[in-house]
Amino acid sequence: MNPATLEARQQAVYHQLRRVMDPELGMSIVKLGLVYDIDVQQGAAVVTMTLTTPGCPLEDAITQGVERVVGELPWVERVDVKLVWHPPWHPGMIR
Amino acid sequence: MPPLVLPAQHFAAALVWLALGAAGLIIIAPDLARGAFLTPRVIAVTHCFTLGWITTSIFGALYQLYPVALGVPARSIRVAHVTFWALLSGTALLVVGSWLWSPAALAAGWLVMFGAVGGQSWNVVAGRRRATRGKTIGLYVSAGHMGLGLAMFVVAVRIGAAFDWWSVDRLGVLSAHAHLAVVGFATLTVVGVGSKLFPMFLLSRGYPEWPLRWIGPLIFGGLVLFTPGELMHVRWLVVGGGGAMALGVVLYLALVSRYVRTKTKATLEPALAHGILALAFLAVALMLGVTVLLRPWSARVITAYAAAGILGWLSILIVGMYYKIVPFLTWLHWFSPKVGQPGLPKVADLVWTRAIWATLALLGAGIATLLMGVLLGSGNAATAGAAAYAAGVGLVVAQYVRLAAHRPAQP
Repeated sequence: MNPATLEARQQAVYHQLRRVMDPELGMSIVKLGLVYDIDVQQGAAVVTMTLTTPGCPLEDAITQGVERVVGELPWVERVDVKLVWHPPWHPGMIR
Repeated sequence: MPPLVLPAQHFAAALVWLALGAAGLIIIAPDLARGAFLTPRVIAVTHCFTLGWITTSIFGALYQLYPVALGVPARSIRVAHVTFWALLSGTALLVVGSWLWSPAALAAGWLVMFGAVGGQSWNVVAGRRRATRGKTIGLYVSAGHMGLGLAMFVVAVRIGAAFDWWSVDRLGVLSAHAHLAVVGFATLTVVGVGSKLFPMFLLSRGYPEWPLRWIGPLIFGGLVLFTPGELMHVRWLVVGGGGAMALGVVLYLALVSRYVRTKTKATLEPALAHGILALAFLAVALMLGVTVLLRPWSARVITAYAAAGILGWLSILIVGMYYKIVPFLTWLHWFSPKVGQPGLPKVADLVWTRAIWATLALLGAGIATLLMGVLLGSGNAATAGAAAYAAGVGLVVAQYVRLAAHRPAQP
């Protein structure tokens, strides 16, 4: 995959992720700074992200939402969501 | 996470108790204005709030909070349901037994309640030892449950006296029981749970953690001195213990003011405004408590002190927390499979914000008027305050009835 296509696909994933809102805070997971990294490989998109707190009750809803919206992209065959807790999220990460 | 029905049944029962307590408050308001806090119906209504509203809410919320904050779910959902019914029936027996002054009903209620507290402690609170995080919250909740257990043992002495098995100093026992329950159990639990929820909801950052290492020991250590002091009439223990508790509360107020000053959320939501109002009443209760400590036999000040602590501080705080927790659980139930779809409501959209501000005004004005009525000895003012408080409670309950009865619009 050439760098331009890679960049375009990463931006497309970010664009989709802006639809995934934290219903409590009323902000997208991108604006909240929860998305740490996006890796695009052929038909796979790997989203490395965190949540506002470990054990967050929204964990299943948000990870399934991420899988759903990213999976809507025509070139995506598989979505992997990697939840990480380091660095821990704090309000200063809000963009 | 527990099944939704578990916290939901606790919250529904607690709201019924809150409504009953608010209605009863109108009836007992003239008694309160006379400083007659030992009458059976005052004790009955007080327990509608302390056991029915506050304790039932705390028990329900812990089922939801422990998996999140400590990483440990309840050991058994079946035991949790049994515990709920024991809590509900124990509270009913104690409230009815107090109102009718039936020692047999009080003793039965005490026994059932003992089972409920034991069940909750085994099922949830003991999970602290398996916790992977949230050690501070676990310590505060465990200390709070120790306070609740001690409060129950102390009041058992009073119930025994009602059977004429022995005689006790009613005021000393009442004071020890009330402080163990309201300060030891409810306030310590709220401080611990609030140490996570307040900063999380306010998006606070950069606040100090060290006050939490002092608040709990000051309050619990104060109770360890205060309780035998009240039971055995040792003045220096009462003053020393009361002073330590007061210092702990001052430190807590300072800590929460830091949460607010370091918040990064632009606006203050009405739910959190309930929390701020509750803290203002905690400050009022603190001042009245210090007055009671210095002049122990002022019955109307004692009554106002208890009302500020139970109706102003704890009850309003829990009303505010409900506005965060119940719509959130409702949202999870209806919308969690639809995250990412356009047009999805926010949690705050599920309740009517203006009504929440209205409950804040009614509860705040109601309790302030009630306190003035009690302090000035005006039955009419106390009744007017109780009526405004009850109207606020009615609005709170109406919101949740509407939320439960109407399926939200789907995107």
